[in-house]
Parts: sequence; C-alpha cells; structure tokens
Amino acid sequence: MKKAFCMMAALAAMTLYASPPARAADGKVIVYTAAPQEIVDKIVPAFEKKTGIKVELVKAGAGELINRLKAEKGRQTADVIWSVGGDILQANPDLLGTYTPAGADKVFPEVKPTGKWTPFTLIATSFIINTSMLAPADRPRTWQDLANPKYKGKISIARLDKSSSSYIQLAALLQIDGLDKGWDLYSRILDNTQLANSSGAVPKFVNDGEAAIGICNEDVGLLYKNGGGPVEVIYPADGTTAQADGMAMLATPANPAAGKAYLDFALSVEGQTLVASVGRRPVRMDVPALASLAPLSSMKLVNYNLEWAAGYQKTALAKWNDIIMSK
Amino acid sequence: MTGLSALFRKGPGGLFTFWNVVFALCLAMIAVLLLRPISEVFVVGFIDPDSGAFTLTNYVRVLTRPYYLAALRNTLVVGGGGALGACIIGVPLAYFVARFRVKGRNVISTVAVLALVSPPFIGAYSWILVLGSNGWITRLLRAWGIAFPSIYGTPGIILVFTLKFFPFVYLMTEGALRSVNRSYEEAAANLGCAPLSRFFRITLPLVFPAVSSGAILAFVLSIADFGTPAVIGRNANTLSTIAYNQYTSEMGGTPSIAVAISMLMIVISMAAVFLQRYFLGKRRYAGAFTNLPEQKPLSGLFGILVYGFCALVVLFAALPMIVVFYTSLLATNGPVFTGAFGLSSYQRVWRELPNVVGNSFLFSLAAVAMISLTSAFISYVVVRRETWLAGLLDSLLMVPYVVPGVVMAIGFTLTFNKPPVDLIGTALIIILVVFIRRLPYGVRSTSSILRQIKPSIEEAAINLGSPPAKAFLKVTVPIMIPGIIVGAMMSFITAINELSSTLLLYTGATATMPVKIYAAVLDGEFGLAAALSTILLVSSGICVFVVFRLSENREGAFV
Repeated sequence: MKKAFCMMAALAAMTLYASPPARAADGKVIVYTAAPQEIVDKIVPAFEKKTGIKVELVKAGAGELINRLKAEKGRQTADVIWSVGGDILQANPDLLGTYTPAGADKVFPEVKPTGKWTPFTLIATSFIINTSMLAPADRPRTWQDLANPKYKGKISIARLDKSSSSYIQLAALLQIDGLDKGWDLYSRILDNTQLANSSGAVPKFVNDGEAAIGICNEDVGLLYKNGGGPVEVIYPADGTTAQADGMAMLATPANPAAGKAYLDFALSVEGQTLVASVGRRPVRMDVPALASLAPLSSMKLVNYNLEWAAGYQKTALAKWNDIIMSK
Repeated sequence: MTGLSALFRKGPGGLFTFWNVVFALCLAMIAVLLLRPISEVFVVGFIDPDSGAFTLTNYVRVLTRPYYLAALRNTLVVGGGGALGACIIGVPLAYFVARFRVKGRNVISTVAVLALVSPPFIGAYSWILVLGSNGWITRLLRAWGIAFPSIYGTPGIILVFTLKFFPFVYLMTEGALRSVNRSYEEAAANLGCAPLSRFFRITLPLVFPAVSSGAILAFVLSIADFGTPAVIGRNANTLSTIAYNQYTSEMGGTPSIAVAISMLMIVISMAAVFLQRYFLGKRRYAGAFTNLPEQKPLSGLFGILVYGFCALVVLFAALPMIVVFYTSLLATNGPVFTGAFGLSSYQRVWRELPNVVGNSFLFSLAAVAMISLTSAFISYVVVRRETWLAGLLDSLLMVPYVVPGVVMAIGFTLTFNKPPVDLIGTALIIILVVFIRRLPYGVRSTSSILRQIKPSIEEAAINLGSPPAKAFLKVTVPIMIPGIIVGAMMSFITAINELSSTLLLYTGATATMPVKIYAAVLDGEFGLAAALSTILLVSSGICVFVVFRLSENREGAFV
C-alpha cells in the first residue's frame, strides 16, 4: 500500500521534473504550417524518407500561427514556418531568422527570396462555384457580382484573423477598387457571407453544397473539381492576383540544422515537383505547373504591392473586426 | 516513510503539526493554481490593451456589439436547449426504468454511462457523418429526392448536448424515484388523480431536486463546452468558441476581449448554480427509505411504447460510438474513404502520431497521480477538520466546476508566462491545468468514502503512539483505497478527454489525442479522427469497467 502511494508520488514528481525536455528536439523538426493536407501528405513523408528527420506539424491558420509565435517569442517551440501567405511573413520580420535555401537562384525573379523568407509556391485567388446549385447564368463573374443580394448566405470566405489567403483576397480587392470603394464592396460581400474557420474548409463547403460560392486558393478548388465534385473554378474578371505563400526559419529554432534541411527540400526540384503534382504552381522556373491550371497570362492580374499589403495588415484586421462585430 | 514521520514528530499542540502543514500546502496550491489564474483573468478584463490603464470598454464592447450578443444568445439557447432536451429524455427514461420491470436495465445504464464519459466533440462529428450535408442518411434521402434540413448550427449543438447530458438527469432521477415514499402517490390515486396528472403533480415535484441537479449540470457543461459548437456550429458561435477565436487573434498581445467573454461565461454558470440552490433552499424534501415504490409489470400497447422509447434512446446515445468505431475500420486513401474495410487509419496513427497517443496517456496519468495524492490529503482536511477554513477549502473546490476550460487555460497563460515560472509550451502546464480542473472529482470520491470511515480507528493508532502522518498513511489510506481508485478512474476519463483547455496550451511537441481529433475533423480527415476517437473511447470504457467493479453504487459514481 505504502509502495503504491510512494510510486504515485514518484510518478507525479517525475513528470514534474521530466517535462521541460518536451521542448528539446533531436532528429526532428517542428513545423508550423497552414498547408492543406494534400501538400502535407506529399512533402512530409518524402522529406522524412530522404533525410531520416521526423517532422512534427502544428497545423493552424496563418493568423493563429503568427499569434502563437508572438506569444511564444524567445522560446524554442518550433523551427520552421511553412506555407503561409507572404504578406504575413513580410509583416512580421522579428519572428523570423535568416536563411536562404539552396536553389533560391532558380526562383522566378518576380518573387525573389528576401533573406528572411522564401516563396514556396504561387497561388492565384479564385472563386469556386457549386455547379449544381447555380445555373451558368446565375454564377458570379466579378467581385462586384458577389455583393448582389441574391447571394445572401451563399458565399463562404475564411476568417481574416485566421487565414492569410483571406487577407491576400482582401488586399487584392482593395488594390483593384481603391481603399474606400474596396472596403465598401468587401463589407457588402460580407453581408452575403458565412465565415469559415479555415481556408481549407471553404472549397469543402462548396463541394458539399453548404455554400454555393467560395473565395479560395485555386489549387484546393481544383482538387475537388479533379476529384469529380460538382464544382467549377473561375478567376474574377475584374482582377485577381497570384501571390507567393512563403516559408522561413524562425528566430529561435530548437534544431536549426533540421529546419534548414526542411526548407532546402521544400524548394528542391523534388519538393517542387511534388507540390506541382497536386495543383500548386511551383516557384522554380525549372519545374512546370500542372497542365489543368489556367495559365497566369489568361487572367487579369492586379499590380499587387506586397510591401503595402504587409504594412496595411494590422489596420485591415482591426477594420474587419469592427465590421463583423457590428453585423 | 520513517524520515517523513520524524519530520513531523513535533509536539502535539505546536503550530507546525502534520495536518496544519498539509492544510497550509493545500491552500497554497489552490491559491497558485486556481485563484491566481482566475484573478488574472478578472483583472485583465478591466485593462485597456493598448495603454494598460483601467477601463470598462472591454465589457461595454462585449455587452453591446451584435456579434457578441448573438454568441451570448446562442450560448443560452444551446445551454437551455441541452438541459431541456436532457430532461425530456432523462425523466421519462428514469420513470420507466424505476417504476416498471424493464428488461435490459443494465444495457440502458451502461450505454448512459458510456455516453456520459465520451467527449462531446466525438458525438458532434459522428452526427455530421450521419446527418451532415454529405452524411449517410442525408445522401440516402437525397437519392430519394428528399431534402434534409441542415444539422449545422444550434439544432445540431442541442441534439449533441441532449444525447450527451441526458444520462445525468436519468441517473440522478432514477435514484430519486426509487426512494420516494409510495404513500403520497397512493393517496393521490385514492383521491381519484389520474396517472398522468399524478406523475406531474406528485411524483415529479418529489424528485425535483434530482431532476434540477441533473439539468443544471447539463446546462453548466453545455455552455462551457467548446468542441461541439466548434465542430457542428458553423456560423452559430457560442461564448466558448468566440473566446477561443478571440484569444487566438489576440495572442501575443493582451487578450482583453477574450477574458471579458470568459468572465461572462463564469457569471452565467454561477448564476445557474445559485439559482438552483435558491429554489431548493425554499423547499424541504424528506428522503424516505421506507414504503418504497414497487415495480409494475409492463404489458400491452403501453409496454410496447415504453420498450420502443428505451430502445430509441439507447440507439441514439450509442450511435456516436458505433459510427466512430465503424468509420475507424474503413480503409482510407488520404482523406478519401475507398469503400473497403481496412486498418489504414490505425496504421496512420501508429506511423504518424505515436507521440500524440503517448502524450495523452502520459499527461493524464501524471495528472491523475497528482490528483489521487492530493485529493487523499484534501478530503481528510475537509472531512475531519470542521473549521471554517476547511469549509472554505471545500467551497473553493466547487470553482473548477463553473470555470470553463477555455477560461482556465487563458488564466494559466496569463499567470505562468514569464520567469521565474515560465511554463508556456511545456507539458507541465497541460498537466497542471488538467490537474486543477479535475481535482474536485477526485476529492469528491475520496471524501465520500472517508465520511464512512470512523475517526476512532485512526485515533486509536495515534493513542498507541503513532505520529499523525503515519496513522493516516498506514490506517486510513488503506481503507480509502477503493474510493481513491474510483476517483482516479473518474479523473483519468475526464483528463484524457480534455480538449477545451489543452487546445489553447499545446504546441507541436505536446499535442494530445483530442487536439488531433479536433484538427483532423476540421481538415475533413474523418478516418484518422475515428481511429483516435476509438482509442479514447476504449480507454474510457476500460476505466468505466473498473469503476463498475469497485463501486457499490455502480452508476452513482458517475453523477
């Protein structure tokens, strides 16, 4: 009896003292990511197989990941942030370390690595439409169309405070229409919108018929289309943008060597070919994109100012909060 | 143990007696792990996040903005709906089982207990698998051309809460119905009162304390629950989901709005508990252990209806478990089900998430070891020392019941975020939050057994020269062991299913099974979620079995 009691005490004491090493890392890399599962399933097993380094993922929206990193600042909780919007990385340089992965010279000159963060893929903003819910004549073609009251409750957009792709959508719209008209339009679109908790959920809702229209990244929309879902991916006729999602070393990594190996792999020909196979546009000039993706030259691309978008993010978030809190 | 007893062998009248020291330690622990985090939450709610000055704007904003008010309304609706639904199912079921010879009573109570211990978010997502926009029944009905209304939003949340929490009402009411004095009902019958009216005018008022306790418990747990509205609520936010969303968007800064929402949740829970006390306090109830009611045989149409009702309840309550187990056995290719059976979901758990399963068991076992140890001492202090301070300790232990997990986690991050006690991102902070949240379950179990042990046995040991610490450990603790084990099992079940607090506190290395299930459900990875959920359910089921074996009043241990 005494033994059992002592053992319990010992177990309690042991866990009290043994818990700090949960932070330490050996032969593993801790990756914060907003990547969709399809990309995780391609990259992570291939990386683990090639390097023998175990990957531990924390998956959440880019906004939540950045806030976690702010809260954990100075602590070695993660090594790498991977596949979040370039704007949000640009806006938070103090959370990032410096590293330029091997192969950076092969990246398209429009999206050169900054030294702090490196582009991982290119994603165009698109509308995904449920074709069995909306007849061709009823489908929206422009951002303006989305504000039409007939779409009330039928649009799905990811929360701005969770998803960096949502911010890129908004920033593109603001650069197409200007701040005043852009916000007015976005606010009217929000009147028609059911907010989703993650950008990955948006095409799923449209595919499952819970929403008729979604604003989302083209690649996830395409996955449902290629999988036989009743969906169509279109690019808004009044303008869209193809922006990089980025990756970076964190300021206080626990295992810098593993982190660097991870970034190198993500930018390697092998890694880029893997992401291209699920419909993402690779950032390397020497890796071709999937043929079913519409060529960028067929879209009306807005002249997207990343510096401005990164700087405006905090203001935009406050304004968005204000709008949805009042609805 | 000799060292320990030597340490406390000070004079019997001195201030530093063994039990005084234990008492002081208990109070200190409660102060650090419970009062400090909650007061941090309280204080931060009055601070302007930018200037750091005192302000009321956080509360003004939460109580005036439509977004928060809608969440407040939803919270009250799902809490009230959950409690009402639990009564609508629980009370008739209890009446049938207590007053008629219903065969299969053990099946009903076992399913009820299993439903009670399984985490609510598993119920939420199995109902999505069945009735969601792409669910089995929805697709079947669609194939026949029938459009099924959406399960998402408040109706789905209320459905899940009803089926999750009706066992509280059922188990409590059934016990009460069995001990009602038969003569009241017989008197009413002799005076010509019809059976249905007799039930509402005599029987129900007599068991009102039990029904209302069950309903209040369902209400408090419903409004605190995070996983269910997060999984099935879609656009219907509740206070716990917006507290979580707000916290993650304020992370890195001061979570002023998140704590303002948190305080609102605490106030609602406390109001519910006090309201119930107030109503109970106004009436007097006499428990009768003589002239107990008899069980009548069932026959005819009424019998068929009763059996039909019981069977439906059992089916609906067990459905999440069946769905989860079945889904876990379907072969998957990534997030897509291939249509064949296979163990690929379990293989993925084994290959990708062994550390997550390990974390869940390690953290829960550590928390339970601490709970067992601490609750043995605390219940001794509470039961054997009838001072006002011991009474205070007892009431303080009620606090974790009314503080939602999200709120407790926010309090912990506010309290333990800087040296000398910087626990952010560690396993310890998760263990401690689970420990303090589940400590009351352990204390309640050990206290109830301690009340049945006469102090005289221990006093005899002390009179014969044993030091108090040794007398407690060698005489009292061995008799308490069944109670300690039951308490440990109960705490383990709640610890391993904990989601709302760990979701805010975990990092990559400290993820647990509920956290991964939640993430997998959001990603549409239903196979993986099902395999992890099955592991959770089986672990909980084993604990339930142990409690059934050790506890005299089998189901009573769970309410």
